[in-house]
Amino acid sequence: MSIITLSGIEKVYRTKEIETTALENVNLEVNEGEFLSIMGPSGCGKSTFLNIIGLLDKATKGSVSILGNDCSTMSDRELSHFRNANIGFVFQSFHLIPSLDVASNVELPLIYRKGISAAQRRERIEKVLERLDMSHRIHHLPSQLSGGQCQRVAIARAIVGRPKIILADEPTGNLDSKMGTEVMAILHRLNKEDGITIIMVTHNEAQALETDRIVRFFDGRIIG
Amino acid sequence: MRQKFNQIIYDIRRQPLIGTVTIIATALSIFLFMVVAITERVKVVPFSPESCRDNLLMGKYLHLQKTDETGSDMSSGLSYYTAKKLYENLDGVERESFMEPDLSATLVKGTTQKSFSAYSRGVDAEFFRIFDHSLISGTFFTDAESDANMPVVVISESTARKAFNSIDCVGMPIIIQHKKYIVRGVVKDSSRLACSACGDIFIAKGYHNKKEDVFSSLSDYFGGIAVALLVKDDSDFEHIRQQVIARYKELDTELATDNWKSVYHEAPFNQEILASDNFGSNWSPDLSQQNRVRNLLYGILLILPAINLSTLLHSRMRKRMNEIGIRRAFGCSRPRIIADIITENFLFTLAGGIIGLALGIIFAITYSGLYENMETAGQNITPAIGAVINAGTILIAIAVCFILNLISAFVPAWQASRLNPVEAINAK
Repeated sequence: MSIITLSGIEKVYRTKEIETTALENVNLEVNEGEFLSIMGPSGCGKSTFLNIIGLLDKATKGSVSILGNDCSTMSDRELSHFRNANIGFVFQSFHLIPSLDVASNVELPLIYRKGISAAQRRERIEKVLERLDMSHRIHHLPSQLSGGQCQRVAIARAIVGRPKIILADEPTGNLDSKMGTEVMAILHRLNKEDGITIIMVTHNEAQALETDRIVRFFDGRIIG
Repeated sequence: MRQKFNQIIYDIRRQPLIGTVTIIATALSIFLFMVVAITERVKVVPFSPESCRDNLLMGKYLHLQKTDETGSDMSSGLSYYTAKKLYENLDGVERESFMEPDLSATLVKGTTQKSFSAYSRGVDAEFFRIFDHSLISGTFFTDAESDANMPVVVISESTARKAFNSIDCVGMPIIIQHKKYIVRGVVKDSSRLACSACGDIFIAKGYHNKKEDVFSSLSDYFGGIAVALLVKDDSDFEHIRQQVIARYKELDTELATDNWKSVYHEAPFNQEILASDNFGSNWSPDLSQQNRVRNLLYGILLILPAINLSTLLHSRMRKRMNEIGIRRAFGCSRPRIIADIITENFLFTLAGGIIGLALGIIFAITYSGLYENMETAGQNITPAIGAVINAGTILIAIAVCFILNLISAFVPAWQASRLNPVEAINAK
């Protein structure tokens, strides 16, 4: 069953002097529980595509439907709520908030969600950190963690709100191979055990081959 | 909230210069604001011996104008005749005191060798029932003593010490302007900010004993008397003014025979008018102009630091674009971004505000002479400072912090909320 449907997506960046087409007539369906890799050379539109699926950016043309909702017409507030409830993000550079400790970083999606008490938040944070083997670092700041640990915390933050979809933009790009393997194992586990749909941008062919499907981009178009 | 505190501490650690400058700039602006606010408030808040300020009205002047084409006029203080005619036995007034409105410099000599200058005021016995001077020894003089113009005085503690080297001087003679008086009582020193009630020496003056038939010419409408009216409730002020207006009309019937009429100028004055510089014997008080100037001053005191703080916040926000993008990605809406930044900045401002408030209080106490005029510098005004530095002052300081925060933080917060999440996340 399709969880994400993108039809006729076009993304054009315009300045006074120049017009750049980042995506052109992109169509894609992603099934529920699928682990999808997006590959392609730098500047081919992979990240732009991921940002549009993640509702962080708007397509110039085309429609985005996620979980049966037409997201193209949503207001900023609706998009924020929708992202909060359904989408988790994992970034190449982790993007943890440096002033907050591990627990507060993981808590982030929950503080923007209504109806969850502080005790419930605490419980969820502890559970998710335990699952990712990061409980012992709960009060540490990001600056006190290794790259692999930071990415685990970032994954914990992405899943603490129990989203249906995780969007990972080169999640192992800043990690050594051992850490990268560990992070990939976590993502596969989340996909298999929790049924979370994962879309991952990667340059790593081997990692991509481990996923259910590979979508290849070139010059803003899907080529395979 | 804990997160916001952590963020503030982190901000200061990461950008110590900007963080410290922000707090110091806030502290200084709150301090300046507090100095101005305290200076203004001390003129109107009740404190001993003017604890009655909220319920006090003063009749001070009379203004007369010729009804013929010359339109010439004359104005001055009240004679006893006029004071009585305009202000005696008004409905809603609890007590009335006939007194000299201004202090007179007098030469004083007690038992010490040197004579010295002090400020005296002629008052009736009722004066001490309206203004709560604190007796240290002796008594206030009685109605009988003041009505009979007995040569008795009540003196301040510092005057007693200067004149007698002691406050145990009740019953002792004191020479004031070459005339001998007997000290009836000694009161605590009063702040010169209590303009209507302060003084070093209070001389018993029996205005009530004067005959009404002293009136013989137009100049007898004028004199050196004011009337202090203690009103039951400040809601009666308007009712009292209406009665006074009626009395002015009665006065006009008397004056008409000589082709004169009275000109009414909002009398009697409340403390707000008395504290302002915008009243006189021949013109109506104009508080609106004074309020405009004051509001302009407060506006400048708020806007100038707000612009600086806004720039500093903008700089802090630039360092946190990444974080704002992440928050947006995980579901933080634009209004929430604005609210979070404003709340966080408010805590920052509050930290500066607390320092500023503390500086303001220390300054007010240490340099209390600032609030005195040149003539009376050095008088103790601690009671007045106590009256203005209270929960209300702290609330004002917090309110100022909040307004300062809103003005300085809104634009950077709004700009931050408008950031494209993708650009913000990828910002270097």
